[in-house]
Amino acid sequence: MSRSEERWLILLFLLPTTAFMVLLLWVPFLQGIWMSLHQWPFMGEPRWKGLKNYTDFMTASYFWTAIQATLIYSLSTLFQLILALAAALALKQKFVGLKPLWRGIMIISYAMPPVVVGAIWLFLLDPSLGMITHYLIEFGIIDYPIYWFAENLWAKWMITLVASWTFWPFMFLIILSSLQSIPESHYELAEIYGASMWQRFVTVTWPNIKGAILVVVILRLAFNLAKIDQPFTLTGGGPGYETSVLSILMYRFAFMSGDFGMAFTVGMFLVAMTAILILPFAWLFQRQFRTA
Amino acid sequence: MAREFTGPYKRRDFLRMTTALGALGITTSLTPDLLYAQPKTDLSGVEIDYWNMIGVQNKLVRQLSESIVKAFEQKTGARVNTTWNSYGDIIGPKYRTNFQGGVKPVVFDATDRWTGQLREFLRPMNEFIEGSWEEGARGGIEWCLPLIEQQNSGFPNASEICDLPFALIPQAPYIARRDHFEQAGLDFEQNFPIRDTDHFIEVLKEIQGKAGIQFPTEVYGKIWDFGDTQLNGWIRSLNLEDSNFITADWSQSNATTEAWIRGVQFYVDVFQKHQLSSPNSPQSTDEEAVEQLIRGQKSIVHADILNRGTLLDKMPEQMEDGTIVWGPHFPITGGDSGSQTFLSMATFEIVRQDGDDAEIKEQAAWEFIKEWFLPENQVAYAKTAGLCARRDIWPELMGAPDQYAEAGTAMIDDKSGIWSNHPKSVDIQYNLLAPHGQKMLQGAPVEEELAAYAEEVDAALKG
Repeated sequence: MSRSEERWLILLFLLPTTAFMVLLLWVPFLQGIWMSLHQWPFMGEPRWKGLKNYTDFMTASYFWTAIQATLIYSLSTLFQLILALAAALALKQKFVGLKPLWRGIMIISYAMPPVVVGAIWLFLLDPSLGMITHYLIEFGIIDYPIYWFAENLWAKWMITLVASWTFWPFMFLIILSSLQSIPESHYELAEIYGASMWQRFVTVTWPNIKGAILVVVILRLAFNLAKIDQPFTLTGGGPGYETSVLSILMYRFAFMSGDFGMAFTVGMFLVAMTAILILPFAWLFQRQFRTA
Repeated sequence: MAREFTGPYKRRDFLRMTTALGALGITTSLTPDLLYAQPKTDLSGVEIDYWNMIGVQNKLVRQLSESIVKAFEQKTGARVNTTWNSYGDIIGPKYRTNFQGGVKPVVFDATDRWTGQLREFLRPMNEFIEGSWEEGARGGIEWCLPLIEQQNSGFPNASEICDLPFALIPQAPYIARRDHFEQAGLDFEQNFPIRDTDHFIEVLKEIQGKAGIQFPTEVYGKIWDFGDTQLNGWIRSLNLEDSNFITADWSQSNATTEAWIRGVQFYVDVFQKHQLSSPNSPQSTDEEAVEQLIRGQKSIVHADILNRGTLLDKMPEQMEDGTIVWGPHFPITGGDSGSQTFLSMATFEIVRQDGDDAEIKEQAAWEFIKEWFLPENQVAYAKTAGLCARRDIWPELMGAPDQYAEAGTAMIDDKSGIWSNHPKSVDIQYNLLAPHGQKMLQGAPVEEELAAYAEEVDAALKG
């Protein structure tokens, strides 16, 4: 096959993916930008608004509340990573028995629909019925029930923690598979040279799982920031706008207010925020990829 | 003042009668020709899609709906394809996007004020109502047709009846626990029904102090309950004209009026000032409050009559022995419109059809709707899910020990209001209001929050 034929073949192979990306991703995205510059009702004629949707949103009383809620909610990625890394490292240890059983138990929360997990947590945290409040009082940790979803600060952290608990198994599975691909001989060699457990982690484990971690962090950041169903089930975005992460605001503008222009405006902020949070990890991944 | 509605009744006799009536309703729907000779309409070969939403979360209501469908099919030879939907489907995008894309049923049921967004797809029913309906049924619901017209006042074709009410949900009566009154040393007969908000606070404080119920009532902050339970009745008791969310011509919000400010202030005070509602108020719901009432943690809670099924299921004995009693909403002290609040209605809608068989399908939809208005079906529905729309049937509902029908019907008269069917009603009543409501319950100044809400509503109305 000549070099020119090879090039054509490469282009041919790239064509379906490119078409897919253009038609299902870039065209709707560009249309979204166009719609964000309009008053775009569900039914009826769109009306040009220029940047007014953006200025309206940025001057809305809830703008910074929503940004703050989104930033706190994005921290669930960090909590998921800590849980996943700890669980994966624990399961890598030789002395841990019944590994398939543990693996099964650990992915339960991810196997359930997020709305169901949200409803379970709503019940567990119920101030008058819930088991968590009951035991916290029983063990003398608190004197009075905490109204987790009615108090601003608690509500923000609760949706973040419930998201962490629901989605951490995704990270766990990928990190565990990455850990399992590290040859045992690497650890044996490190042991021969007298490496401590920490040194073995830093010199053997971390370099081998770093790539996987960067990938899952990027994926989960993007997935978490787009989550609507679970935080909406837990708080409806309230009290006030305290847990109205950008994705919830987007949903409310689109499907409750029928204002698609404003919904896409919020969407643009969400895209920007996701990009800002993901870029450092993407850069690190790229650098590691090149080094490798 | 709450209208006098209590009266002598024999509970056991009544229970026997209502059980028999309920069973009769279902039985006659299943074997219609045995007991009621209904005129048969031949609709053989006609197939209609029915989107059923109202009450389908309740097993009994769903069974009743299925039995009515079956009876209709037996009588007419038509085939009904039922799809069960949730409230979220009509509040959210499902109905609108499907209708827009040409996927639409022939007939569906909904909550009256959520269909404005779909009005262009609906077929008016005036000619059916006036032309081919037996006098009893038409006479039974004629009273609410002006309300339907009023609800659609902002549409140029407001006189076209596109929503036909088959069940009523007055928003909202309250449920009281007689045993808590007694534990607090209150004479129940003297203190029930509640007369006005001063009396309400007085009774609750007595219960709180003497019966040891920490938070004997609840005001609701969650998005779906802040703007459609007890608040609206209190506002309405101060001013009939200003109590709706928007003006009659749909041009602006009413939220900055004196009635709104006073009504909302009292609502917030129940929690903030009087501390009679739990700290969960900014996020609480009437369903949760009913559960707490069942567990003895609440004494008087406002809730719509749809919650009756939960009470019947979880505390049948107390429902039968009169421990649990429904009372009609009551005015803010000094208010002059009494217990008449807002009526929410469960309605039927026929969707305009295309093609050669459009006419016969729409006719079949009407015949199907008529089935729901048969006396036995109206009674059976009311037994499981609240009040029926046919006023001539109401006497048959009276006398239950929990007095739900007495409470519900006491809230309905010529002062009763109806929320507008503006295409953005979900946005106005829930989405825009709830965040402000929650902030007010957390202590934000009522007047400022209502002004901010009114501004958002005005902007939505202009958009």
